[in-house]
Amino acid sequence: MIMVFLLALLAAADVKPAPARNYKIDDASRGKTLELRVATGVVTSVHFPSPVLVEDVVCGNPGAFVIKPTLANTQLNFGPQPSVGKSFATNCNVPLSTGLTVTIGIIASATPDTFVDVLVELKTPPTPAPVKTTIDESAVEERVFKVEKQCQDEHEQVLVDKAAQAIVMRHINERAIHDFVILAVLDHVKIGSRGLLRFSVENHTRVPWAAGAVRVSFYVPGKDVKVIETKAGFTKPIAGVAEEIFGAVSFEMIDLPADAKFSLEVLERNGSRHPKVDGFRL
Amino acid sequence: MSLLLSLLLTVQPQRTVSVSAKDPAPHISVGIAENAVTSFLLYAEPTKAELLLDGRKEDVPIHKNTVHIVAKKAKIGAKGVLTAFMPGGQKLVIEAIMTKFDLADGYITVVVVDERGG
Repeated sequence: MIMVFLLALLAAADVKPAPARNYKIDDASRGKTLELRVATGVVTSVHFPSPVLVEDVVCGNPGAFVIKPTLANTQLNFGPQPSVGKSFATNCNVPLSTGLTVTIGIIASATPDTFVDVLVELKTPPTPAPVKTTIDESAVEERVFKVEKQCQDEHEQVLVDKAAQAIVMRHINERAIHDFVILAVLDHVKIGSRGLLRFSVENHTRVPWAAGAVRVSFYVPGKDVKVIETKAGFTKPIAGVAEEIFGAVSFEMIDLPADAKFSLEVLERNGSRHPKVDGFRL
Repeated sequence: MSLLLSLLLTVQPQRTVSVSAKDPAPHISVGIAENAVTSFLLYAEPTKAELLLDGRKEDVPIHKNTVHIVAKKAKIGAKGVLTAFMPGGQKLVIEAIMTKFDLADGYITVVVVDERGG
């Protein structure tokens, strides 16, 4: 319908319509002025890539035009007023909803034998479609599992490497008895600079034996006995009748002489049965 | 027609003008022409804008951050002054000089920079 109307107008005015023109609106086109050739009696349509803020359109010669928005404000139809009666040049600033302002320089002709723009289309370059990313949850879980496994393996490898360098273990198996309470120093483990002694207490009496403090000391021939500061722990605090419990004691080994002989004494809590293993080496 | 078309192709396009943030009244000079609109996209919405032209002072409508000078018929070389009162106390003094259509500014973006141009 519009095209029929336009063709009728063109025939009446005897003007030569220019082919429809396309302009691209992008960052590179900022700062450039769009040229528009219009003529009395011809409607020239400019199609914009986004809605025009029609109320903010300002033209240098507003009385010379009839500007009608169509197509949801994405198109402006420019129609020069016949009453102007002469050719003139003007410009319009057309703000778009995107924030871009299009400056249109307009040449309006009153003479019929001229080229006229009928349709000018402004386009924005197509934006590439966003790539859809689908998440395969099973693959993610598998990947997470692999990463966790890899971390565990690496962690364990580091642990093993350090253990090979730092851990020293030796069976001692020295025993002593005091009032039918048998103390056995079983193993010595050295992790880094820290030493551990593992021992057991067997109660072969008819009275339960309660674990108290653990005293570790060493001596070097010709020197005084020195007591080592320790921390001790037991699997059970009390060894019942004919029962064996296990304990361990840890201490710092940095300052201990290599030729020292050690003694380990386990004191009975509230009692006098203190078995002591003496004279063992680490 | 060809003369008008050649004029149109030399119309000054959109341009950007920088002003200093430390200048209380930065000066901008633009060319305006009869039948042409010169729009200014300012860095903030002015609280008021007024145009002094032909010895008369009149308020200029403000559209968000944009003000426009629609030139009236005047001799080439005639001067007008558009003053935009910006928030923060800065006054933009925009000197408008009547010129030929092909020398007129169409759309000007005013941005603020510091003295180092950053």
